[in-house]
Amino acid sequence: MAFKPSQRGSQEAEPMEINIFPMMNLMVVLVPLLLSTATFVKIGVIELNLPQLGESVTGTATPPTEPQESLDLTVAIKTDGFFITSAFIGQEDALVIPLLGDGSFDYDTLSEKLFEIKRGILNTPKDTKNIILQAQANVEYQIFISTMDASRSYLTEEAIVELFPQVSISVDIL
Amino acid sequence: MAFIPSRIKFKKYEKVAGSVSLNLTSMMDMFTIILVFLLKTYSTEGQLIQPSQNLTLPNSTSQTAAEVALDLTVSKEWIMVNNRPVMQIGDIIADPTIGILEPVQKELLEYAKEAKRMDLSYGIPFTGKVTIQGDKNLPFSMISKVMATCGESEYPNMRLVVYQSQK
Repeated sequence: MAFKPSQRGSQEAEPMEINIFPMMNLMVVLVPLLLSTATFVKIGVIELNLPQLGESVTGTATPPTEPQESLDLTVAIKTDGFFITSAFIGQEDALVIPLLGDGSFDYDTLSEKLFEIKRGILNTPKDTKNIILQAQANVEYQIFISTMDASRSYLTEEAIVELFPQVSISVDIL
Repeated sequence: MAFIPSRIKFKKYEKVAGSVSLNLTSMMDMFTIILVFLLKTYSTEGQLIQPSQNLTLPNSTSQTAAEVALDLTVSKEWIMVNNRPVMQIGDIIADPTIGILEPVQKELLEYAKEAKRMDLSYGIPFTGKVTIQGDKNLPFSMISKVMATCGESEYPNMRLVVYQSQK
């Protein structure tokens, strides 16, 4: 008996299709689920730790030590710009950073100036962490926060440089 | 001599009617991309702090994550402690002689007392942490008064709540 001749050449290959419906079902469930739980605005915090005022300090608290020479670096926010004063640069030549042309505050220059001050004192025993912020009463909260950002870190081309992360706020209450 | 009829033409009509198939490949591609994006942005923490109504938080480059603490909200109209209105902003602006906000202080001391009691009976440490949500257009004098009040009311560890933004 002769073998049946091969039919491979004459048979048409059926186009194969993968069954993607289970995959589709999964997607249809997962996408709305993740969309509903996604957080698009991230909320962060700025930490500020004040020494406790009043008489509630207990006896165990150690007195604040001051091993470093204080720099007394102060940034004042006024309606016409920033004023940087410090024991290091001297009261006479207080740095003035005026507003930009469109009336907004010049945070970049503030960061730059503070970066210069920080670089100048890096190898001295001076205190390189603390900064005091002052603000006029009618300065908006957003400006205050942005100033704090500008004095905490400085964004150079390569990296974020830490400036004066420990911010104190000076206010005239009562 | 007659021409041979075109074979290509016939092939066109050979398909059996009723076997229409939808091409879902591009839709699958889209879904895959969306899914990967959403999985990347997914955070297991969720939102610990719900921003209050009637105020816009300021933007900041701070990268510190939020944590749960006593919630003090300074909106455009009210100062609220744990979502309970305590003092009206208008009253404070109307009277510039106010230094420490007494109703707020009373409320905070009440919470501090409760927290200390919890510390004693259940060992939940009282850390004096308070999160302050303030509207970004508030004057600095208002914020500083609120902060001074917190400092005077056994809550010296303040966290200013901000929207994180990339610079």
